[in-house]
Formats: sequence, C-alpha cells, structure tokens
Amino acid sequence: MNDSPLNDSPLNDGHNHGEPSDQRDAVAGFFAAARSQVRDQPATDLDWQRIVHESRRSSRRRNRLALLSSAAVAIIAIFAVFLWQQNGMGDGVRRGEAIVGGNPVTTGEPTSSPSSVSSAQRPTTVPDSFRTWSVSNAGQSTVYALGAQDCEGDDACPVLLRSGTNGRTWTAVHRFDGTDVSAATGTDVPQVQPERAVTQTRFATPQTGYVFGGDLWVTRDGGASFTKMSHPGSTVLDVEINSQHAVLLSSDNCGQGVCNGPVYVTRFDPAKGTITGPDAQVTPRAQVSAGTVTVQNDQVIVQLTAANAGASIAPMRLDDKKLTTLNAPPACSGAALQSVTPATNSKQLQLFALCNPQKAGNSQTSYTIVRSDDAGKSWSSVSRGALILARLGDVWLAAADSKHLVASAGGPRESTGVPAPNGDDSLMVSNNGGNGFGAATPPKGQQLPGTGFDWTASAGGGIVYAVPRTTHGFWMTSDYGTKWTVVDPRH
Amino acid sequence: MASGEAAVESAVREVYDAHFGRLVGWTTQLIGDRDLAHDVATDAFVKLLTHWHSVQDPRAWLYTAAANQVRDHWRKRGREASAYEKFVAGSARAVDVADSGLDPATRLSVRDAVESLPERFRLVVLLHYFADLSVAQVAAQTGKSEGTIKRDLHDARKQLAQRLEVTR
Repeated sequence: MNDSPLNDSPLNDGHNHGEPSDQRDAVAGFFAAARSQVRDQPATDLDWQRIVHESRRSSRRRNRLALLSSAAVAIIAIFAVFLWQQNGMGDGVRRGEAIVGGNPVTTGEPTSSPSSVSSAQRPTTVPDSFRTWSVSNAGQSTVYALGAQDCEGDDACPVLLRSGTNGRTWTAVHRFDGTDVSAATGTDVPQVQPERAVTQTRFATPQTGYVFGGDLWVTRDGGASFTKMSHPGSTVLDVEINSQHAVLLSSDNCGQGVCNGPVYVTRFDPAKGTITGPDAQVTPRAQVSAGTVTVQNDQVIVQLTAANAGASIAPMRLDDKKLTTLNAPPACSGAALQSVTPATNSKQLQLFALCNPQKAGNSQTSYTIVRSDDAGKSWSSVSRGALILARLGDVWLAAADSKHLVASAGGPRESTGVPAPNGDDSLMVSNNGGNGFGAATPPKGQQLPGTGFDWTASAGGGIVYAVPRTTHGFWMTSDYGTKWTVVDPRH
Repeated sequence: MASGEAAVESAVREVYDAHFGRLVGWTTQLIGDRDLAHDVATDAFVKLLTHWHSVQDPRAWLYTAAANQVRDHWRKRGREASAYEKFVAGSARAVDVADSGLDPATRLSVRDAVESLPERFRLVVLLHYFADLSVAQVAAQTGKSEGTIKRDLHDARKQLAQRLEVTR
C-alpha cells in the first residue's frame, strides 16, 4: 500500500482543476445532478461482520482446495506406485497416463458447467466490422486471426477467423459473447487483461489451439467449440507454442492492468487436456504490466515488463524448475535486455535482443542489438544505434534466422517522451543480422499504421506477421520483409 | 487470527466506514435495486479484503469493481429490465426507483446515458463523471494512459451532449 486508504473523501475528491467533469457543460451538469441524488445508505457493524465472514470463508475454501489438491496428488501417487508394484513397469506406465488424464477433451474446469464450454458454432462470412487483434500460423496453410466485430449495442465481440489457404480466404468460426472487452478496444490496450477477456490466439495444429486474455480457452475442432481451461495463476499473460512444446505464462493478484505475482511458468503438452504445474514461479520486485514468453529449441525465455517506466525486470530463462536471470552485456551500458527473441529457423538456438534505448531526434529511439548463441549465458554486441524506431510504445523484435530480423514499435502506448506523430519507421527490416536496418516498404496504396504495430513475430520460413490491432487487416511478409502485404480477412 | 490478517481487516474497516454507505447509494442509483446494490458493494469489499496488498487506491478500486458488476448486471438484465423498472416506479418499489438516476430535467437515467455510448467509453464515463474519479485515477484503474482516457472522455462527451440535446 502506497496510499493511505482515507486520503480522500467520498465522491468529491482526487480532482485537479481542469478535469473534464469540472467543465460547465451539459454532460458534466447532467452527471453532477445525478450524483447529487445519491443517498448514503447505512454501513452497519452487521454488514461489516458479513463481509469479514465471507472473506474468511473464501480464504478457508481456497486453503481447503489447495489441501485437497495436495491430498489428491498424494493419493494418485500412492495408487500409481501400487499399480506399478502389481503390474510391472510396462503395463503400469500406460495406466498411469490414463489416471493423469488420457481424455484429451477433459480440462481442469468442470466441463459440465455451462460457463466452461462455448458450444460449436457454424462458420459464417467474415463480418465487415472485423478488426484484427492477433494472428497465429497453425501450419498446413492454416492461419487463424482473432479480432473484434461490432455486435449488439455498439459492443465489440471477439471473433475467431480461420483461413485454410494461407490467408487468401477466410471464414468466421467462433464468436465469443459475454467476454469482458472493457480493456480490449481503442488504441491503448493493456496487455494484462481482466478476467473473462479474450484477446490473443495461438494454435499448435490446424485443429488444436488456444484463445486467451485473462482466461484461457482451448479448441480441438478447429475453432468450432471452446472449453475453458484451468491453469496455475488467475490471469493468463501469454501462451507460446513451438513444435508442440507449449508454455503458459500466468500470474496471481492481477487487476486494472497490472499484476503483483507470483508469476508462473508452466510447460504443457497441447495434445493433453490438462495443464498442471507450474514448472517455476517468481515474485517480481515491481508491478508487472505485461509478460511474454518464447519457446524455441526447447529453451523457454520469460520477459516481464515493469508497470513503472523507471523500473526494469531482466528477462529470465527457465532452467528445469528455476528461472535464471539473463544479464545484459557491457554493450548495453547498464540497461536491461528487452525484446529477447529466438531465431525461428535455426537448428541451434540463437537469441537476439535490444537494449540501451537512446533518444534519437524528437520522436525516435535508437537501440543496441545484441546476440547470444548459448541460450543467453553470454551476449555479443551486433550494432549500436543501427536500429532507430518511431517512439510509439512497446518494441517487438522478430528473428527468422541469423540474418533476417524485423523490429516494430507500437502496442500499449505509454511511451515516455514525445510520441511519434505517425507510423513512419515503426516497422524496420534487417537482412544482415542486425548490423543495419531499413524501413519496411508499405504495399502499393497502403501506409504504415499511424499508431504502429502491437505485435510482431516470425512464424517460420520467411513469414513474419505484424499486427497493428487498430486496423481491419494485418501485415505479412513471406520473404523476410522484402515485400509486405496487408491481409484484410474481410476481402 | 493471524496478526497480518487482523491488520488488513482493521485497515479495510476504515475504508468500509468511509465508503460503504456511499457505494451502496451510488450503485442503487445505477441499478434501481437497493438490495442488489448492497450485495454489489458487499462483494466489492470482500474482494478488497482479499486483494488488499495489491490495491493502491482503495476508493477508486472499489468504484471500479462495483462499476464492472453494474455493467454485468445491465448486460444480463437487458433493456427490458430497465423498461420494467420504470413501469413499476409508481408501485411497490417506488422507494428504490425514485432514486434510480433520472435527471428531472431530461428524464434520462444515468444508465440510459451510459448505455447509449459504445462499450469502450462506458466504464471511463461511469468512473469519471459519476464516481467522480480523476482522469489519473481512471487511467490507473483501467491500465490505460491519461491521454487515452482524456480522448475517450472527449469523444463520449460529444456523443452524450447530442443525446442530452435530443432528450431535452
């Protein structure tokens, strides 16, 4: 707690002059009149006792559930040992798998609960109002795009699109009604989303994939139906899948766009129906406003963004059951590594990262590029100041291989300093391993989006996706960034 | 009871004494049902006890929690419920509905006004104009920048001004 709980009085506090509600206009007057009609209700000791009782009861329930879970694990372990002793190794292993969850559809949530299943829907045409939020390449020419469509009452509804033709044609396969979109629209979307939000998608195969925001849902029928999954932590920050290795990044104690942790890292098998774990957890020393995870060549890298721009949290590598901090090299001049990304096409793990952001002109920032060939244990400097990006918010780095990199700026736009007035230099391409960068050339008739790109990633081969999130379509290249196209699923 | 738990309960009790009654009244104005408003405020305080260590601004946090529940309630009940509540205003539930946020000049309720806006504006309008949270407080609660909140309020104000003009 930083603030005294009573540093303000009810309903007429916390204001600086010049607030919109202080203006003498019809709207401010309307709400002021309505506020004046609010009547205080009694706050009795009995009501307080009810609140305390309910809080303690929920706390006991959580503790009891934790105890029951531990007991269940112990019983399963004893039962497994018993079976092993009775039947020998070969047969016992198969039975053990059945106990732990052979049914691929079962999730940790009670599937009989109506709220944990979103029933199969019939594919429809892509709505004209569709705006892309997230893209995932599922392999076999199948691409999924999660975004928003207008729905009743000016609300936005998340909707999942599927393309079986590598993005040439699309159908809408699932609309999510009843999700919380209060923090998912506009040009300044926090990465920590509230419970019931769905804003991102990742697919392991053309049939199996996930949508997540605060919650995590799985489909095993190509997006027709979804089942809510239980997982460590209350809020999902990120999911990443590579070669059937999936990792979940989640946290407890999240609210209003930030998390206090603990933050959990959990490996899981997309072919199985449950997520157990976690494999490791960490309590960050600062509030977290975003978290990303990458997995490549069986190495998992976790990056947390501190909510306070003055603080920084170093990226971490998952080593078995613990998280090891990745220290920045001297070339970073004391700044932490950021935007750590693996090259997706390399047989040996190669990591690239940015660091040492420096003001470059009124609305640009330059970065040092570093590279590691030993999973982040040591780093070598590639270039200093060669990458200059528009100051538009978060910075993303994507690497296809040791030569081809793409960097972008955008995302939650709480940048320090003067933001860039337009999207120029928000998407930069390197074909010499980060020694030099050039601005991406927009397709004919297109302009770079004015607010930059919220998410950029390499999908293997020469494919890189860059998602502005504020537009109908997303940007895609199949030749490492030489030629870009804007994929608009509505057409 | 652990001493840590006692300290949290003591701190939240102070917040309760200062804000619970007002929060129930504020919520009643929005949903026109005092009992339900009482439940919403109670639930917000139960959650506050659980999340106390991560809460920076209890009052803003409570109003945000309540506003989210109010929006859920509106969504579930739909517009038919609003019509029904207006219909019964003169009968048995007159005590509650009399305080249901109707502007005497316009006969437009806070709910009508807020629900006439696109979804992305509703929470910020409720928190800023009706809960009287500052732009900075709304930004902190919603995880957005102050610039974005100001922009959203500006756009919402333009739409609401038109709506108020038509109603009058």
